[in-house]
Parts: sequence; structure tokens; C-alpha cells
Amino acid sequence: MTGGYQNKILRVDLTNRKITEESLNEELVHDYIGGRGFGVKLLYDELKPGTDPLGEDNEMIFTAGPLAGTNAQSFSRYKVFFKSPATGGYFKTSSGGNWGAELKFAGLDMIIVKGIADKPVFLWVNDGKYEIRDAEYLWGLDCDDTHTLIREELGDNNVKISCIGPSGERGVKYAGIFSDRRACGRGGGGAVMGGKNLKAIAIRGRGKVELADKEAYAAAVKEQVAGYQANPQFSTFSQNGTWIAEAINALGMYPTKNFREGIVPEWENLESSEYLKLQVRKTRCYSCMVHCGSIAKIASGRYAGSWTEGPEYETIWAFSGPVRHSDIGLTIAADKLCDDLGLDTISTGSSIGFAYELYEKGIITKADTDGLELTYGNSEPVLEMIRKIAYREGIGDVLAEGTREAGRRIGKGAEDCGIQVKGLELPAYDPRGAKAHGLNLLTTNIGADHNSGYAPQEVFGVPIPWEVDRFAPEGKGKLTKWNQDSTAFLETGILCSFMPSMGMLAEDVYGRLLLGATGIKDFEDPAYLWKIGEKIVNLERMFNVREGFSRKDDTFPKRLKEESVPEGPSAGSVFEEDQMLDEYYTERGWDIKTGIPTKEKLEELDLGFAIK
Amino acid sequence: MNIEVLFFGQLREITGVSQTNVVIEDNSRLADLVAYLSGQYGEVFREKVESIEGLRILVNGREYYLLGRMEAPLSDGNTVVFLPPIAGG
Repeated sequence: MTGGYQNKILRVDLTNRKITEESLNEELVHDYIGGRGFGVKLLYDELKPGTDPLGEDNEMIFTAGPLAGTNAQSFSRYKVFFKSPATGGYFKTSSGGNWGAELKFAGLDMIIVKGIADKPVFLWVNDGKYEIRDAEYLWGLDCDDTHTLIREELGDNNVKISCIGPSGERGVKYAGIFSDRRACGRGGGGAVMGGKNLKAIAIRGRGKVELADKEAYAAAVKEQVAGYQANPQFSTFSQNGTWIAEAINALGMYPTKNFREGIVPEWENLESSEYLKLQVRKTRCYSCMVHCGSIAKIASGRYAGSWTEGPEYETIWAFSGPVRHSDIGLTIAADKLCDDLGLDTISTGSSIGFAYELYEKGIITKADTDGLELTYGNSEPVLEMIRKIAYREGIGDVLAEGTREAGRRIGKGAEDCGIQVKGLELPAYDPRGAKAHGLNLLTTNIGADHNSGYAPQEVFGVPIPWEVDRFAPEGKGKLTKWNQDSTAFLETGILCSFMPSMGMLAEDVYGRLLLGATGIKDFEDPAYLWKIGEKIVNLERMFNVREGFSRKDDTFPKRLKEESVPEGPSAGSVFEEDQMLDEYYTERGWDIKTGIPTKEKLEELDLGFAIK
Repeated sequence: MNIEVLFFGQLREITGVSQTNVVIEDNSRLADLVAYLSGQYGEVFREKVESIEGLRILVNGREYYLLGRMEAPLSDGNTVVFLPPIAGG
């Protein structure tokens, strides 16, 4: 095996407490490159259809890409793949921080976990030595304390940890996996870990990543850095990170009142300039010059003393739009609480907003909420609602199932109030104000995930690859395919998704980085990369097809299709679902009636093995 | 006609306000509005509009480059937004 990879997979069977090492398969490397490519191929090959997401046969694949742990910028993230308890389908989730690089330094490309431990454990990976350790004393602790106590036990503050909080232990369907306040937030990976009685994976590595051609690699990194510095968005993004609430409100697509309005009152309280006043210091991920993260702390008001790393835009929205109240302090306190309890902020905020709508409509009452008044504009109950969800107390127990399942169980019209696709709640953009962005949320194989095909053309006005009208349904099938396939091939290296959304990394530079690191000639060819991107999206879809997914699952709640945004710059717009799906499937070479890849398409992508 | 204008980033620093309502001649275009605002806030306003790479201008929520760029026609009651380049999310 050439450079970039460590040529080693660690397999952990928790049921039998068996740990084995295995080499990377060269064919897998060539045909899927890494990251998202490895994840989907291995999950497809190793999970039988119908596998219980919380059962012992579900696997969790933790992986870092071939450039992680090197000085390439923004590539040291890690991804986790599993069958999701939220969607019942293929899932991928990703986090920045330092854990991904540490995995590589410990000599590994991947850790694949299956089985269920007979009692709580954590996995200790220490430079080629592996141990399943007792975690009974950690069970019930929040993520912050879990980090602290594991580091104390191991006597090393440099240990990198991915862990779950109390919500993951209780199987909350949107519990995430947390590493030093960064999160693989979405899809319920925390619940899958909790179901395995796996509290954490701790890693310490002292090795390094070899490169096939050091000079060529250095030249490619230099090119990448120059591209970052020349980008018009670089300096603002470096300073403000994702504090963009003012822009999305200015577009009138800031989902408010459970996607019934497009502007939250007093959004000026949530502007980037307001968060800058609370910024204590900047934070960064391993080998990323952007350092977009921040520690923010609020000194006065109801939430005085609260601090967090972030909050990111999605989180700012999650604790303002859904409850129709703009309180900057709440966004900070709620973010920290979700980090501590191990919850995905997007689905948590959306689930709370769902409960507010049910309360408004009388579908639930004070008797259901233990006296909490879930009235729009009153954000006081939010922290208590987060706690109830994490611990599955009272109304929190059903909300912990996600809005799709909660709607089914509550009934009485609640079925129409969950704003989700495939069981994954929508993030902080109203699809009616950005049609390609919406089409991605609609068709992405993991549900309504913005990071699988972000449309910067519409959200940021970035005219790459071409200028678009954000309201026009026409042409969005082609654009969405472009956004999704480019994201997919860049995620073979697990590039931070913020970079492509700014046009900060050209495909040819990625190709030269891969070639310099691995020495594999095909990786330099943009046409090859595009093919791999398309192949990944198609194989993900075939994983889901095997589970019974089809066009019927690519659908928004009827609110987004039948009711227009009532006011503001996106007023009057609805989402033309059928028209855009037809165009999208046609662009993809999928059957229009079923949304399933055709035999010809699968053969073209060397996915003949997935033909049924 | 009446136009509401929102400023963000450097343009807010120059104008010192986040929002203003202006009255300009009927049938004005975006270039006329920029000229008017430059009269109000100084030539530095125009210079910034022309020099900020990636500056986003929205007319009633639509990108100005889809409406004829600086020739974009304005109507009574329009809202024009000047946004610096943003990213992330």
C-alpha cells in the first residue's frame, strides 16, 4: 500500500470481546478512495437488509480519510457510518476536531464496531494496543465529564475521545457522538453506540502519515493554501464562522414557527456582530487554517455565565426559529446543554418546535408538558424540554423518537407537523426559498441533510458552477446532482463541507493532493473523481432500496408543497416537488416512477453487484 | 418611490446604520440607488460596492445579477440588501 493510508482496519466485536486487525483491500482503495466511499461500500457489503439499527448486527464504521493527519487543510475530520435508527436507512455523519487525525496517528484508517457488550465499556486504542475497558462508572455521565474522567483514568490529557451522553444511553433517535464539543450530530449514531453499551472510543497515537511523493504533496498543499487565501469569503468566514442568521432572514427563508413563517422576529439579536461581542477566543480543527470555531460566553441576562463552543448557524436557528424567539443567550445555553447531554441540536430544536405547534393546536396541553407553556415567543421552557428529551421524561419520551414517529404515535393531526424527510428533521433553511437546496434535502439518502449537497449558489449567491435563480424549479435537478456528486467525491477525503460551499477547493487540487499522498494515478483525474462521487450516491441509494426505500420516501411534508411562505422576500413560493423530482431522477439516470437507479446506470458506475 | 435598504458588514460600518428608508425618483435603477446612497454616505460607499469581491446585492430577495446587475429596475416598496460574502451553515 502506498502513502496516505495506514493500511489497517481495526475490527471490534463487542459481543465476544474480540479485537482483530485487518489490512485495507487495494481494490477497495482504488475503487472508493476512502471516507464516504469506504463507508458506503462496507456497510452495503456487511449489513444484511432488515438489520435492526439498535441490534448487535448493526455496524459502526469510524474512519478518517487518506489526507487526515497531514498538513493538507480541512481534511482531518472523521466520519461515522451506520444504519440509522432515525431513518431506517444508510447514514453518514461527520465531525471536525482532532479525533480523526489521532486515528491516523494510532496507525488506523478505520475502526469497525459490531455486537453488544454485556455491560458498559469503552474502547482504548493506544498506538497498536487495544483494550475494552469498563465504563460502568461512566454510564450516566455527560459528555464533558466523560472526557475528563477517561483522561484521568488513562493519565493522559492528550487522549482524543469520541463519546455519547445520557441521550445516547437512552436511545434518543437523534443522539450524537461527541468529541471535545464537536459532534457527529445527526442520525442517531449516539443511540447506536448506546445500544452497543459503548460509551466511548479513546485514542492516543504517536505515529505519522507517510506520503508517496513529499514534494508533489507539499506543492499541492501550497496550492490549496493559496486558494483559501485568495477566496473572497475566507476572511469573513475565518472571523465569523457560520454566524449567518442575518443573511438567511434577509432571504426570508429562516424557518420560523415550524416552517410556517420565514423571518424570526428581532433577528437582529442573532446577527454575527452580536455573537462577535460574546466571542472569547477562536478554535480550530486539526490542520485547518480557517479556524472558524469560537468559544462564546454570555455575561448578562437569564443565561449569564453560559458558554459554548459555537453556536453554529444551525444551532442558532434550532433555538430561535422553532420557538419564534430571538434570544442570543438561549442559543448559547441550549447548545452547551445539547453538547453535554449528547444531542443533535437540529433535530432537538425541530422536535421542540413541533411540540410548540401541537400545543398551539391543542393536540397536546399543559397536562402533557408537566405544566410547561409552549407558546410561541416564550423560549423559557426550551432548556427543560432539552433535558426531558435527553432523559426521555414525560413528553420528552415520545419526542425522543423524532418528529415522524412522534407524529404517528400522538396522532390527531400531529402526523403533518413533523418537518422531516425520511425521518430526519430539516435544518435551518426553508426549501421554498432555495429550490436546489431543498431538492438536496429531499433526495439525499440520509434524509434532510444540508451537508450532502449544499446549494451555495442559492444560499450564498456563489455563482459556481453557474448563476441561478433560487426560486426557479427548472434546472435544479442538474444542479443538485452537481452539488451532491462533488460533495461525495470530496468526502472520500472527508473535506470539511464548508470549503466546497465557498468554492475554496478546486477538484484538480484535490486530485493532486490525493496523488501526492497515495501515488495512485487515477486519483488525479477529475473525471475519475466525479465518477466516484456519482458511484457513492448511487450505492447509498441502493442500500436504501434494499431496505424498501423508493420515490415515496423522497417527499416533503405537505406544508412545504401546498402552503406558500406568507411574507418577506420568499413570500408566495411553494416547493414544486413532483416537477423537480422528475428532472432530478432524469439527470441521474434513475427510473422516474420509482426513483431507483436503472440497471444501465449501475453498470456504468461499476455497481453491477447491486442490481437486483 | 420608497426603497428600504439594509446594510451589513463593511457597508454598515460606513453608513453607521443597519437600515434606512429612502425616497428616490420613479423608474430608478440599482445604479441610481447606489449613487443616491453615495451622496448620503460619501463616495466611499460606491467604492466599497464596486470593490468588495463577492458582495451580494438582493432586490426583494433576488440576486441583482439575475435582474440586470446595476441596471436592475427598482419599484416602489422594494427592499434592497447589501450583504458581504458569507459562508458556512
